[in-house]
Amino acid sequence: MKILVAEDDAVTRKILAVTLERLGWDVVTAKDGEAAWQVFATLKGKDAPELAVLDWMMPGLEGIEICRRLRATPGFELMYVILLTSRGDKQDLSEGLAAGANDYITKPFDPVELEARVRVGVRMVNLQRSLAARVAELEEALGEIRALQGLLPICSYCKKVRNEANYWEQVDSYLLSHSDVKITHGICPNCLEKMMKELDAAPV
Amino acid sequence: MQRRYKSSRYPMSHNEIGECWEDLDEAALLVVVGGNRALAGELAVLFLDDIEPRMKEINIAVTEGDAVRLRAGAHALRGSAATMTAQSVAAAAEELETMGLSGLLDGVQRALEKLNAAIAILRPRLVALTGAP
Repeated sequence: MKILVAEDDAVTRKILAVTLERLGWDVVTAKDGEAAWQVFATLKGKDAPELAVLDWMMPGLEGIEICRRLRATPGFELMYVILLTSRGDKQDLSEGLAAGANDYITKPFDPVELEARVRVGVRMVNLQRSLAARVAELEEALGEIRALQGLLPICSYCKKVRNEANYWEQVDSYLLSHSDVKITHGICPNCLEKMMKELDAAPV
Repeated sequence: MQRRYKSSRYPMSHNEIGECWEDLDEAALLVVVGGNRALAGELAVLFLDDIEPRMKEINIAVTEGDAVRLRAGAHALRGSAATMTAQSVAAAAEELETMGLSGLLDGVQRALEKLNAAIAILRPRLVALTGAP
């Protein structure tokens, strides 16, 4: 998992990056808020960070403003954000959390606390990722169910059905292409009796 | 959070009510860097490189009586110093930051002198940490 560390202080940025890398995470750093926003704007897909540690007070764009922007930008609403602050005031913390931060760490940070809080974040990101995959699966399944629930024209004689492309096809091929069912072919007793009669009547 | 020490093998800085802060808590710094002394040296280099521009910013703010600028400059130095476990510098910078935040700059010169003195004590210890001759 990639983690973005945005911190204008070179010393703190270095310690954060080294600590997180030592714990096995891939870290990308930004020296101020604008650079952090550029990371979000340019890194996409697998290269995009899924968790961000943002310093509250940075020149230009502050961590709390990045938080607000992320929550308002499609695709970044679920980014896990940890605000880094030297403030301990409850009012400030409440402002940070209201802006969309998931958690906070006060400076100077304790490496053990940093690891614990980042691990919580990673768990949340993995959980959200797994939930998103399940929702996608369910939506896909729901789409198939809806397809089978629609009005389906069927020939009264040959029992073929008319598909969306306006072609008549066998019921079994239609079901195979519109659902997850697997079909096994057999002969029902009525058809078997009819077929046997036809075979008996056939000239040898 | 400021930690107070009763004794140390290193000289300490004192404020007017007798509290003292260690100039550089090397043991705590080594915990932060996971025992990596080379990394501690790299951080010392970064911190030393940052002192001059940060002090320039603070000095301009004090000269111009710009409380907002003073607060921002002192805040930056405090954060950096606290991460380096340079407690006396962090405490002196915090005093200036508080003045900037309140807008009351009475005694700012004295606070600035205190910060300069703390940095003067810290600098050789950081240089030693970098391993430079």
